[in-house]
Amino acid sequence: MVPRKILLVDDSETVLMMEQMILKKDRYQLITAKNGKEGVQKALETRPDLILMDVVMPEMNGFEAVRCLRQQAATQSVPIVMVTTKAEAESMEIGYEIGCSDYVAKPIDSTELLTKVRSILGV
Amino acid sequence: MKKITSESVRGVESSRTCGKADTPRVKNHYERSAQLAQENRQRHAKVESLTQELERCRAELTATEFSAVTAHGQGRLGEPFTVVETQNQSLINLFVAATRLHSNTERIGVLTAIREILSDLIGSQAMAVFEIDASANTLSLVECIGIEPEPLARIPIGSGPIGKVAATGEPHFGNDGDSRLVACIPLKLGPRVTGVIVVFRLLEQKQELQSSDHELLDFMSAHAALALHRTAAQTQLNAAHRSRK
Repeated sequence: MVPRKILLVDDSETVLMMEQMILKKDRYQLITAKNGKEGVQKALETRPDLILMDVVMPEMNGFEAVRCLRQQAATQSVPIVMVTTKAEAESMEIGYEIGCSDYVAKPIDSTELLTKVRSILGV
Repeated sequence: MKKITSESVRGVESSRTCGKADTPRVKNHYERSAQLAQENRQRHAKVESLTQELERCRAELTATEFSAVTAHGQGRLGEPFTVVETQNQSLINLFVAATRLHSNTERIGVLTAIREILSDLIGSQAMAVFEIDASANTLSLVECIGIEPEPLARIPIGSGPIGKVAATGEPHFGNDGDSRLVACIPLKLGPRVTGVIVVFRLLEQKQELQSSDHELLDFMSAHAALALHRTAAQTQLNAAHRSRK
């Protein structure tokens, strides 16, 4: 069985490592990117089944990256979970408006992240 | 003993109607029998009703017992699961922190790792790292986010909660009486204090430090100090190599 691909986009190496530690036990194929621009590029190249996207990043922030991905035919329906310190209602509303599927607030809770990923990927 | 049933009572009653030439004594006997049969029927009805009530109570008790056992079982299973989950989260945090701190050979990389650990793993919104400047007997601010750096650029050792942590080597938490900071942890190389890590504020969604955060801060106390010391030693070594060449 081909493992599901998850693209992890975050400028913090600590968060990327944390996400990899949590998700690797479910045997996903994990791809990483360090900012929104690299995230969009890798999403178009690798066609992931799910994207975990940080909000505050250099070069291109998470919201801009989501808008960009939603405009591309190849990625317009890929589920995107925003992983962010901004848990305020306003940020969440913007995220949902531009087409993100769900939110995970930092600091990441491993059970919450795994549950959401499994639920979205239908595992 | 022969059991008196409704049928047998009805038999007695019907036989009474047949005896037209009965003596008064026999008549009394029949009347008494009919009365007893009537009482018997009423008691039968009562027994039947009580039997039904008993069955209903038994079913209710079984259901209650099942719920109680299930709830108890879930409690017994659920509690260790939560504990394991917390331990798992704590281990992941410690592993990530150790890897980030000790995989960096540059001082800037270690300071970035400390900042990320405090913000991304603990949930700190405002933090600072100080190092002791032994020659001036002060703490110097070397890394910060979410605070104005100027007022905290240099803190005399022993002054205020941050200076006291540097002086005593004992951690200080906001719930110890000072609400201006959440946690103040000494950076220690063995018994020697080399600096202080301060968490001024947590993210809005994080109410308070958890036990796993305390474990991580304990870990940082020794390992962040070691990682910073190692990079400083490496820098000195590199400088010595260059001068020798």
